[in-house]
Amino acid sequence: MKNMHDNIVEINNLEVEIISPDGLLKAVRGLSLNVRRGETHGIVGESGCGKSVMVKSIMRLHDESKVAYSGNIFVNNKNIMDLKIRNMRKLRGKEMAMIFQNPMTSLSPIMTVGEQILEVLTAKSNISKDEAKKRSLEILEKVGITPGERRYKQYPFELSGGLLQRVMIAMSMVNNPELLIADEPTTALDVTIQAQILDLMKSVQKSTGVSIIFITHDLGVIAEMCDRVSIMYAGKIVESGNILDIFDHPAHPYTKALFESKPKGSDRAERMLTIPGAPPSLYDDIPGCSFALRCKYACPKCHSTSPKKIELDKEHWASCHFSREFFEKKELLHDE
Amino acid sequence: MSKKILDVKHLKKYYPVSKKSFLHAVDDVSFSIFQGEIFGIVGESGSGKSTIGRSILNLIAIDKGEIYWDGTRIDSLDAKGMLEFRKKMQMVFQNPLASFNPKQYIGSAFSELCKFYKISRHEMNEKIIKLLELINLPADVLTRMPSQLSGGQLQRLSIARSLLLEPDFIVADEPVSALDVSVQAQILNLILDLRDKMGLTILFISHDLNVVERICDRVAVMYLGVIVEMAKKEQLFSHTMHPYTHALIEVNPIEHPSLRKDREIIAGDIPSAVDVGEGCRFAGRCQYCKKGLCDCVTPELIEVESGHWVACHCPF
Amino acid sequence: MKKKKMGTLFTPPMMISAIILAVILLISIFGTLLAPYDPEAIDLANTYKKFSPDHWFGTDAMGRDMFSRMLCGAHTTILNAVLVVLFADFIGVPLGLMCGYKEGLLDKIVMRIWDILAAFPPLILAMVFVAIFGKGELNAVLATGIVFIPMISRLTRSSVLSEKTKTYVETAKSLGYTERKIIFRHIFPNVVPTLMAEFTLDIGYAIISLASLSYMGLGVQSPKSDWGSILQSGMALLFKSPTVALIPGIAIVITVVALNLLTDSIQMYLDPVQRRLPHIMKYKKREAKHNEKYA
Repeated sequence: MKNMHDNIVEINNLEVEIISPDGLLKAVRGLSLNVRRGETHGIVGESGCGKSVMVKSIMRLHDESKVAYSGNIFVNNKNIMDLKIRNMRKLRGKEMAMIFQNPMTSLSPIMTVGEQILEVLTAKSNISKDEAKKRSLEILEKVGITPGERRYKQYPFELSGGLLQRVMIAMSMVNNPELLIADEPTTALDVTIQAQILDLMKSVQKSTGVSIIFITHDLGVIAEMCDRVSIMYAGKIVESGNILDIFDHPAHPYTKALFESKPKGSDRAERMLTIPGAPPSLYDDIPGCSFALRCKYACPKCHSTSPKKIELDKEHWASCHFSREFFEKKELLHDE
Repeated sequence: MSKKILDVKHLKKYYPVSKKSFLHAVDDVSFSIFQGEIFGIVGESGSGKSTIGRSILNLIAIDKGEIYWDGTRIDSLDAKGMLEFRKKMQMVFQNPLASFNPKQYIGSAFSELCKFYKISRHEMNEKIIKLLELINLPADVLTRMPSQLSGGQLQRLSIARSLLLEPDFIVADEPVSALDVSVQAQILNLILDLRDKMGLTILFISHDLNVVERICDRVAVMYLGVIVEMAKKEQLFSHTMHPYTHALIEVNPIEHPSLRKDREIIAGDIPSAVDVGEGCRFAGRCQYCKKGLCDCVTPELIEVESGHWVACHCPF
Repeated sequence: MKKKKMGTLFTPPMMISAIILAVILLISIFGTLLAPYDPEAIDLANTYKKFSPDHWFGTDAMGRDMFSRMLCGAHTTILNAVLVVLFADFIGVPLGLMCGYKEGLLDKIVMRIWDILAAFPPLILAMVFVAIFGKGELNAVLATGIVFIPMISRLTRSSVLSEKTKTYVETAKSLGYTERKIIFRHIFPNVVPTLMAEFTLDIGYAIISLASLSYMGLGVQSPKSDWGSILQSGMALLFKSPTVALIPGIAIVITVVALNLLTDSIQMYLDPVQRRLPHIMKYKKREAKHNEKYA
């Protein structure tokens, strides 16, 4: 029971299937995840690994006629899956909020940014219009959009991507949610602007204590931002742990390969290590370990049986048959 | 030193925004590329890096300046005159899925190109087999539609297609930014192989410092349509001179969480390049900006040490 | 990668309209063979007959069998409508492709002319052209066809404008392909789906336009008749024998509505975002049953 109170988000064995014009997409396949209160939890994965589908499920943002869930998602000890959509709507914005990759398309083009913040403010609490406007101006200045008075009256197309992402952060934080889900919030931005946004998110977290789920494909951003990391591959979390554990003792071959294939250094004589092939299609059934086809350590067992979660250390686990060996940096028996 | 193969002199490209104001996409840029090197251009959005790549291949008309390929001026050639150079210069685009016609089989895209340049059937088959081997893909990809292949496969195919005519020079416009990390490395290795095995000269356009550091020989850093610093890679990263380059390196995501520190993050937004006047373009965001100098006098790109060019009044 | 296409083109409205159109098409092709009477045979002894087993749709003022007239009229009506759209596509599509791709002087001139033409109601315009060419079946087809060209070339042009910003067009340019090759080999196949949907819709418009011209006596000339001219002959007898006007009227409405429904369904299917998908629970139940059967 104590454990439950520590976690703001607890996902148990979540499976999400979505019907799409190309077939039945089994986007999330038995995923478990804990996010602790007050931490920044990074989720790393390649495109098409189901990470966006997973976080959208936490908000239940999918079209309910096209999606089938199984498993549980607890947010603040409430099972999101049992809630009616009407009650779910009350939670959105108030207990949890989300920011998206492309701020240009996340804001309404025909309202000024000030009005949009005002709308969020008045929708969830009953304060007077003047009060709300004053608050919105304060919020704008707080996220570094100055001068607030002038920016308040501007339309999204008049602002740059960086400023719009600040507006998005401001909007999501208006009602002091306990959980902020950031879906690749800096991918569409330039590096100098990315650094500013990451900085802002850090300071927002410091002042409000909000828990953040941070989705990205960039390990550098993870290294910069997160307390704990989960690595996602083909609809599952394959490894999860404290950031230093993951960076120093990766125990899943996919995690290892991700670190190895990151371009770094300038010595060109040495070839970059690559992961052969491409991630599996989530329309197909995958027998055994989903990474087996691309894994250089794979053995017959990997192709037939799906690996179980192996606890390696306090709060560090991985699902690979040989996690313990990787973790202890032992040579694998069948490795040549 | 090997010979200059491409020479860009005082290239200017302005896009009209209204009757009187212009977007200075590329403003008086000069550089040369030597045979067999990988020349990188780094910059954020709006720096004009893609415009340069397209100008060199004559995909857009330039306003002023000269572009020489091996001594011949190519910027003023018409479509017919350019045809001969098209074989020698090819381009690889950022989005591999979009760079194939969605209604055309991969194989047909390849054979169409061969037919257009009158390559015999026999020669074509031989070439395609060789290229598929080089990019490490099975022959059955030729019978697929672009939508049936993954991004990494398509980018390899798009590189293969550009190699079909045996070019000497390739412009790679952000070839890995649309790809996942695990696939990026495959493409970067392939590009390095091409240089080594086929002696290609490559203009590599990117926004990612890590990638550029990994594969380029020389690097030009662009900001708002001008080159602010240009040097050999080692010089650029170990002896950074321009404050903008410095800021870029500073905000580059770290490799390991233990390297976290309070960074000096460059403030402000990238300004618009519409009607920029005199003065250093970076002055507004530069913390070392000297009032009365930097914001009134445009710094020229000068060679500060051998092969290291910088456009700054007060370089580090 | 194994993908199973989801969502079906064959929604109920699509099926109904397709069946209706198939019947109409068959009638228009074989109508002259099926007609029980000579549609032009005058039988003054049997005028204004009501519906009967002998005369399914009754007879008109001159005792001609309405059923036979409708069948033969269908032939003329549908054939002419298809001709109109084919003619307009033949000129409008290449013109739209060129204008959209080049965006130069040609484009400016052509589009301004279309703007001027758009100021007139299409029917008036068609009448003007008939006035110039002289009345008659072929001239009516030609006139309507000309009126349709701006519409089709505009649609093609706007599709080209959005298509040509895509990278594959730039790739084709960088490979040195000629403009003709880029326009017809690369851009054209990618705008065909839009044009296909428009084609069926335009046939509906063409039927109405031609019927209107015939109604005014500018199109098909007696003794030959299409639905428009039958309607016109019925209008004079509206109070005496309303069926003569009602039957061709209803036929036109059914055909046009069916064409519109068909177009809508095709367009919805072509756009994956709009495509109607089965409810996931229903789909999964069906899939489970299917698996049980084969297990």
